[in-house]
Amino acid sequence: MSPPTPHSLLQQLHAAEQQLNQIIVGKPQAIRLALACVLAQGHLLIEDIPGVGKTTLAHALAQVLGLAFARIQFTSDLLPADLLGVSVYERNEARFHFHPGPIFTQVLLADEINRATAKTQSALLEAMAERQVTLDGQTHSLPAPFFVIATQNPQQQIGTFPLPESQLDRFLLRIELGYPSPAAERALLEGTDRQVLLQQTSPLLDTQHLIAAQTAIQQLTLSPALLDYVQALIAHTRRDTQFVYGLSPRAALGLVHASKAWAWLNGRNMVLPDDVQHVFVAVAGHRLISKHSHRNDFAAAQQILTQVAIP
Amino acid sequence: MSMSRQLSPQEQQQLGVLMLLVCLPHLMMQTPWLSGLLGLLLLTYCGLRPQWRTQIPRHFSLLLATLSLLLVNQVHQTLIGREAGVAVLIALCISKLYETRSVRDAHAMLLLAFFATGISFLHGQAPWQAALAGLALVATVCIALRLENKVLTLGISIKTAIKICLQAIPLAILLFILFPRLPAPLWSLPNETAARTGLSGDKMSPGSLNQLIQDDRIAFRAQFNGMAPRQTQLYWRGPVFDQFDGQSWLPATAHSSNPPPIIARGPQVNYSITLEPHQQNWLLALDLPTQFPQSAMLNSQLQLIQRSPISQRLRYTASSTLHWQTLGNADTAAALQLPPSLNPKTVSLAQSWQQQAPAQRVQSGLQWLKTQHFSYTLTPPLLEKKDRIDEFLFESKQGYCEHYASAFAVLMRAANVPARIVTGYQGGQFNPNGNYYMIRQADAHAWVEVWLPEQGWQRVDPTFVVSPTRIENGFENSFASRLQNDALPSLLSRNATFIKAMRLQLDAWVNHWNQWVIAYDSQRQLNLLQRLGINDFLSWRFLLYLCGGLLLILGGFLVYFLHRNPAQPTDMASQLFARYCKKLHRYQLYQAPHETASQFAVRCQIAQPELAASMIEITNLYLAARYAQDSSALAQLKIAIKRFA
Repeated sequence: MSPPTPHSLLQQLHAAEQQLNQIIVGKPQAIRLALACVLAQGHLLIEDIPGVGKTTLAHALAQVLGLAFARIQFTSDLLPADLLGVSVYERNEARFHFHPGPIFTQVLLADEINRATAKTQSALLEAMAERQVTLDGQTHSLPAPFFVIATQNPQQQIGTFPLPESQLDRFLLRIELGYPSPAAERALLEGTDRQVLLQQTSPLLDTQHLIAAQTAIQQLTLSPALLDYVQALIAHTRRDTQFVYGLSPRAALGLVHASKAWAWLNGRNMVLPDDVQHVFVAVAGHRLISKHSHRNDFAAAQQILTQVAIP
Repeated sequence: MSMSRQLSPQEQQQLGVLMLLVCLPHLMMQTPWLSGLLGLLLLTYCGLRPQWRTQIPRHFSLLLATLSLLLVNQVHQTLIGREAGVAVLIALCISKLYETRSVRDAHAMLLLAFFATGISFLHGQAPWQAALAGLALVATVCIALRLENKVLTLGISIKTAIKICLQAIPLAILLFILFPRLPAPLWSLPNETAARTGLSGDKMSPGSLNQLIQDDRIAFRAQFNGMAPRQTQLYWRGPVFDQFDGQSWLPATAHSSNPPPIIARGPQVNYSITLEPHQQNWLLALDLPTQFPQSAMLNSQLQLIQRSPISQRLRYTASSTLHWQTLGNADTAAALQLPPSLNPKTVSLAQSWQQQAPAQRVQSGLQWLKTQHFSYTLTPPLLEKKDRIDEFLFESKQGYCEHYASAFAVLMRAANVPARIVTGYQGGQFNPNGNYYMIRQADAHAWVEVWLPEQGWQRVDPTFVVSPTRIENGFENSFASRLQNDALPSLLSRNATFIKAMRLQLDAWVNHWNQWVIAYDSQRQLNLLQRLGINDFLSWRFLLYLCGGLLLILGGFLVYFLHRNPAQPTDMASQLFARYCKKLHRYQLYQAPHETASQFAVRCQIAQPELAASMIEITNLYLAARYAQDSSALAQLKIAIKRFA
């Protein structure tokens, strides 16, 4: 197979995006952010109430991109072994044999991640960061690309283990889906069942193409003017006294990667301040904690964009 | 009413520190334990744990206010007047601080801080007080800025606050010069009798000047027009004493108002004096004044006095003649008065000169002092006997100007020569930085005047006979070598030349401040305005100057702000784009600082659809030139913007 041209890659991704928009109706912004997250090789956190299509989005994304998909429902009794796999003694061969857990997939949906204990959470997050699993002294690489979509229910916090800031930092983007608009909801109610739609969906990309797109995005260069803007935004969060901490260098890198992916998805090879502004809240929102409420303040993160002049 | 934002604990603490700074000048002027108590309350507030600060019950500050008012009333026996009024203000400020919760409260605190800073000038108007007030002003503006914009760092907010205060200076200067001044303050400032220092006009007793020797505060400053007289001629005349009770000298009881006729024998010396307030009604002038301010008069003792005590720094010009004689008869009965049956040895010594002519008796007295091995010291043994003059002249033989003047006057009176004591200052330190003399309390001196038939009153300085260097070289030079340095004020010690130069410069600045800021009173203002052609505050011309000046300053600022480039773009693309944005101002289109070029373009297209095509072109070229660093786009951008109407 000949290497795909950047143009055909973009076309494929737009087709995939269109497909996703037919399944999740009325959320083009969230879908594009989710795609950008995959393309920037980051992990995605979806924070919303049940029933707005978090799982469907994750599933559809895997399906459209032609990736292997696995889902784990996180509960308080879920153990790391349930996630990573176990070594079982094989009598016939007289040795231990590793049985990989559900994490050995390309798209992992970690549903209600905050319901599991810290131990299990950290096992997942370690795998996310290293893209490998170490068990009994043996290291097992995860498939590439490896992409985690975690969901979190923000409202029912009883019996949950909220992710600490350090772990939230590992998610590149955090999005909300929210209720659909009345028109979108009507289309949803009138249309075919989502499960049927999902099954009918055929992959529009293969792994090789996805990796090619990821590489193309990585290779985009940034102008000094844009880096000035990114640094101004980051510096502002560190100066602003209403947040407990400013954004970390990892967050700054994430902002750059996500902006590149966004620009590429919009068919541009140059990254503009507009791209940074589009992804900023998704990148920064879950990393900034308000001093007053000790919770994430997305409105304040949005406000930062109006407080920082574009150099 | 909408609730205003609650203050964070940090903001409350900042307000506490601000109030501490603002109240500091006031606390320094209050009774120690009252200011200690109020200061402690402020410090407590600043040091409280953040969560406690928000939990102070509302009633607490009411209680605090009531208690502190009672306390102030207890200390001052009143709640009005300068000291008590200021104490009330400070106490209420502190009570208000304790109930400060919201931004609205904080605004009230800031206004109080401004007011309290202004009030601090009631205590005095010295440069350091002005500096402290300036500091408080900057701090208040800084806290006000931080309340409104939480994002500011401390450094930026201080810088901005200083900038704001500096911008207010032109307006302040205009109002300082032109705002009508009252000849006398609306409210009379009570004289603080507690702090009376310097020369005393009430009596002169042994030891009264000795305390001044340790005091290097400025008594007054003098500037000569033309050549200054020599150091030995700088006798600054102050209170005159002519009643001796055996121990102390007292001023004359009956003043006949007219001075004896004076004949000047030497050239006239013109000078101006800036006298520090000493709460008494005599002025100082070079011996002997011939011209002096109208508010003052020369009494029969040739002492320059004015009706009211000098409670504020006073600047006046005077002329003196250094050689003079008086006509007419002295009040010889008063000038020969001696307590009966005291100092027998002195009296018998004086009577041995009875046969000589009066002038000869004076010379004999001086000769006797010269030959009897007297020594000049600042630490003489204590005189305890009943016949003090005898004890001094025949036993201890150690003393300073006061002892010599006192003893010599008694000696002359016993020899039937009318004599009296004149106190004042001798010499002074020349400050080359401001070309004036500084006369310190340490320069206090006492000398004798004798009345001789042909010549009238003549100055005789017995100290000069005993220790000529004291007069010739000035106090500082004659003593530094003889005394341990620590017995002298630090400034007078000779080895500290660097510190001396610094203090001289500092005093020159203080002098400038006094001459240009403090001395600018209603009279000087009128003189200045008359030079500008204004004779009356209620004239059109005055109004024209005031309003014109105001408009000029405000207009200047307006022009500055309109034509100021907020930040000069550094690269070519943004400079070109800035030019394009300037062209769009014509259509009332302004790019917000946080607005991206594309967002701005969308807005512009909606507002000016007919220009949409060129706007899109320019925006795309700019983005390519700036963010893809495309040099051909830059060239095209230049052309496109030039074409853009």
